Amino acid sequence: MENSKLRATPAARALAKRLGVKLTNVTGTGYKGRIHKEDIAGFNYEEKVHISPLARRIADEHNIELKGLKGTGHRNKIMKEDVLKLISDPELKARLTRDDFAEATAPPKAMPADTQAQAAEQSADDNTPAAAPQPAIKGETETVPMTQMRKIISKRMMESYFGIPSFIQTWEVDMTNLLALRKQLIEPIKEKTGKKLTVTDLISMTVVKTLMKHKYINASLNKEGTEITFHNYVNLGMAVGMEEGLLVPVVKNADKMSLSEFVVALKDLTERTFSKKLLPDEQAGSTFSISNLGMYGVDEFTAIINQPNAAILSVSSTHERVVPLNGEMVIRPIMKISLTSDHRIIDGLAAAKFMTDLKALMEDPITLLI
Amino acid sequence: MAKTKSKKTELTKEKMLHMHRLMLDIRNFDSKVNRLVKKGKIPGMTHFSIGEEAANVGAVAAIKQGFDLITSNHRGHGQSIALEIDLNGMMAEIMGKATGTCKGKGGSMHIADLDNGNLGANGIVGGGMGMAIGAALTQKMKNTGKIVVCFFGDGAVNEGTFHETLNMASIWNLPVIFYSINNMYGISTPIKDMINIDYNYQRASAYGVPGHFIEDGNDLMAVYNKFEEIVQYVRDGNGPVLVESITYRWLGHSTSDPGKYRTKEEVDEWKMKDPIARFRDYLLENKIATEKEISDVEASSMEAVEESVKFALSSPEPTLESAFEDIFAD
Amino acid sequence: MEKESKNMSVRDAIIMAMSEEMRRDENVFLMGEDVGIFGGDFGTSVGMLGEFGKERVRDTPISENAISGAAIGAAMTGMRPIVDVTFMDFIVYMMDNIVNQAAKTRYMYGGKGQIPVVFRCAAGGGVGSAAQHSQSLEAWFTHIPGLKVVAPGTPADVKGLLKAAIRENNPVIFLEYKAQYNMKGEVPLDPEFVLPLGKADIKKEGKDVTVITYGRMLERVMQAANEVKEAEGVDVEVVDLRTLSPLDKDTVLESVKKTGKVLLVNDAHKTGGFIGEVAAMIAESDAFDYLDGRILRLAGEDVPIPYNQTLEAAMIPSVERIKKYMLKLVNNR
Repeated sequence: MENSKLRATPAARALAKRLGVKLTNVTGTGYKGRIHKEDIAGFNYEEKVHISPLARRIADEHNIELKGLKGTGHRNKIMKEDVLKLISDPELKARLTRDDFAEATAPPKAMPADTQAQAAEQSADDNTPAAAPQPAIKGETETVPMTQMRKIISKRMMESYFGIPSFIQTWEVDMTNLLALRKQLIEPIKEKTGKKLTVTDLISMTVVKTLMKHKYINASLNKEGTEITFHNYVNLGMAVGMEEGLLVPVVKNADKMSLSEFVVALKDLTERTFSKKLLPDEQAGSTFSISNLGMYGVDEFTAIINQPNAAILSVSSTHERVVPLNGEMVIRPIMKISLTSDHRIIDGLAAAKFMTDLKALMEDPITLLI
Repeated sequence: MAKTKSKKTELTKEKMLHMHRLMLDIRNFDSKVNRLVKKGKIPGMTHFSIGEEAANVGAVAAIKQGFDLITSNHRGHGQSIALEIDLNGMMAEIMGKATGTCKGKGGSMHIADLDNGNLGANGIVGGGMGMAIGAALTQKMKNTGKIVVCFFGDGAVNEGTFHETLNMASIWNLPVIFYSINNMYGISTPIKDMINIDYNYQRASAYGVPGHFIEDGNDLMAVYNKFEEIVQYVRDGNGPVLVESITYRWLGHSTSDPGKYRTKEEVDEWKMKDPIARFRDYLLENKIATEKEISDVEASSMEAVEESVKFALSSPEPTLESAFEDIFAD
Repeated sequence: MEKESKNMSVRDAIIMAMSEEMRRDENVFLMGEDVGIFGGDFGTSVGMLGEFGKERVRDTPISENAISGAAIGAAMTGMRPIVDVTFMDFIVYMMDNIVNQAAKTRYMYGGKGQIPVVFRCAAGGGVGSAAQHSQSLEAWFTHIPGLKVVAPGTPADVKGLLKAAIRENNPVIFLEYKAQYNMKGEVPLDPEFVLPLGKADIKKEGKDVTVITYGRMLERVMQAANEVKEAEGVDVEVVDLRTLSPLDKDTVLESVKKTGKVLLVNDAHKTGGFIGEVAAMIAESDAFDYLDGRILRLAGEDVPIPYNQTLEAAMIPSVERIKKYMLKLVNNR
């Protein structure tokens, strides 16, 4: 139940409910911190700039970035006069004109512009699960300019896709035992953490365990491609799709977590991703990433590497298939996984070895306990 | 018992018996309602015309039925019955039934019969005066030849609207008779304490209109003859008239009034001047009707009233939806 | 069909409306104090005595009770009177006839009879006539079932709605504003130009905030709306109620759902004023979930209107204050 002492307009409450956003996570910009619709909707996942509608229009016209600036309006709201003053000074204007490289996806604190550990890229697919109802498109077509977030995603994708010599290996995994293990663990995990154990949680755990034994898969390459960094820990990036685009929050030190701890950590990260409450630190520093489209019925797909990771795992959905086993045809739940690897650090053998171990662990997950 | 003064009339026997019948209807109807109230069969407020039958019937008999118009006040039973309203509908209305003249939504104080020229009883003292002059204005503007009789009591004369409407009727020469039935009490206050003149008809000259006085309002023929005269005067286009008759109500002001402000002696004294009994004698003494004819009329009056009670008791209540109907005309 | 129009004042629109209706229907007539040779206290019947004669343009004594009573009696018996109340403050003398008789007669009589009468009132202040001659009392009448209450804000609406009121078979309280008798606007000349009662009008479309108003304040709201658009880029939607009772709830709620932000403005006193009713109606409707801010009211102060002109002006909403309230809502205050 939402906090009844919370100030929020009916429209804001209705929208929050629809989006599954916790109002306690939202900062209201209304009187006495009252939450309004625009505090939740966050059309671009941008820092909330407190600005009057006319001032914003003028700023957009001149492509001015106003983050972090204070205006002369009520509660430092940026007003038309403030913007006009800024753009009248050519040097100031040049400094403030938006850079496509700028970290538009970072929440409140400013991020260094050249860090590659930015979230917001990776997916080649259009299947972003809708987090909010789509507005109806009237007429034949609708043309909209790209949001800042999309621009960044787009740029990173290009760099990764064209900049990395990558190769893909696809493997099939028999999920019988993993699914059974999950069934057994649902109740105990629920009791311990109050959260529901998902297949993703278990798959992630197997990945984390396996990564610790394959240092080249869990490595990072610098931008120039001259230095490889090996990590003694796993920071697992989990791609989360939203209407505005893809974010990849990172579960830090996943290797040191028990299953219960991981379940809680991932749930929390995912929720805060949706409510735009991720800290900048939580989108950076991954050593490996997973893109899971299992719940969307995708048979097979390849993901694009989340730089500076060396590789990324794509997880597809599990389907019942007829497979030969010991000379007989049996029906088993089969899931495809694909590893996209940066051939500058990883070659085919290393990838295959990793996938062999991963597959083995997934098909016999009880050994996770070891 | 006071005697009715013999008067020369052009009234037919039928008409006179009919007037007697109407007075009986009023008496029987209101007596019946009184009993029903005591038995708890009638909710709400109602006001009785018992004792004032002659004052009402005599006046109405002088106008043209279905042609001329009247407005009435809260003590409107006498006028409505004198104007021959359907007794069934009236009893049903007083019982609040859907078959009432106002579909159960008006009650005793708002009984009306618009098609027959009865513009309705009114819950506001003096409320009918403005309506009466307005109706008279219409007749004048359209030259219809109709007149309006505005019924009210002695206390109503003190309302400001009396002054305004009589003045306006006078300056515009409207065909309206302002008729004050003086039963000598408001609710509990004697009129003598509330005015500083002897009678209200004396005010007429202040408005430039003739004032008429019917000293014995329980003498049906006296009322009728006077009204014949003034109806003709008004119909001839001479402008409005103020007329006052003296009578008495036998019961309290309303059903909830035990009448402690009057002495038993006074009431009994007036009961001796019963207008119906006096007219009965008048008919017999002047050989206008036989004993049989009169008792036949008495019987059929009782029958009609009993009939109306049966009708009303067996009528349905209005539906809840009907409460939301008839607010506006289309 | 080509509809001609002319730029004319509210006053002229009134004369035109009444004259057209009196030509069209011989049962329509005008009565009130000084409507004849004087042409009305506010000049709203100038020239009509000459055209229609003294039976149909009828001067009365100073007897509000008798005037209203006579109007009702005449209406009940086939005429269609228009009563010139003059200063709305004087309607208090007519209350019994309007509230106890006109509003209720048809209902009490179980659907028999009709009372087609229009009470035209000169409402509001702004002309230095002080407390007893400057009131806008529409709220009282919206409270009475059986009455319709109309308050137009432009000359065209005045003409179209007055004609509708005269053709309406029920009692109508029709508000005119003393301060606006000279206000000019385009008015269609078509004698069949009749606007529907009970329908509000979107005078300006917008998407940032809804301002609901009527009568005298419409002019100021429109000016404020245009000024905030220029200065702040704020897009105001102006809903002109036109008829207060019956209220056009659909138009109001649609606008509320569109913008989520509501400001109500009128010149009458705030407490117990009609916009309170509209605000409550919005709050209890299904538009509630679309509200993205408080429902704000801007109305006349709860004081008798003072004589001093500066004081008087400060007692009712000004364009500046209306703008301030619009921006309050837009800025989530």
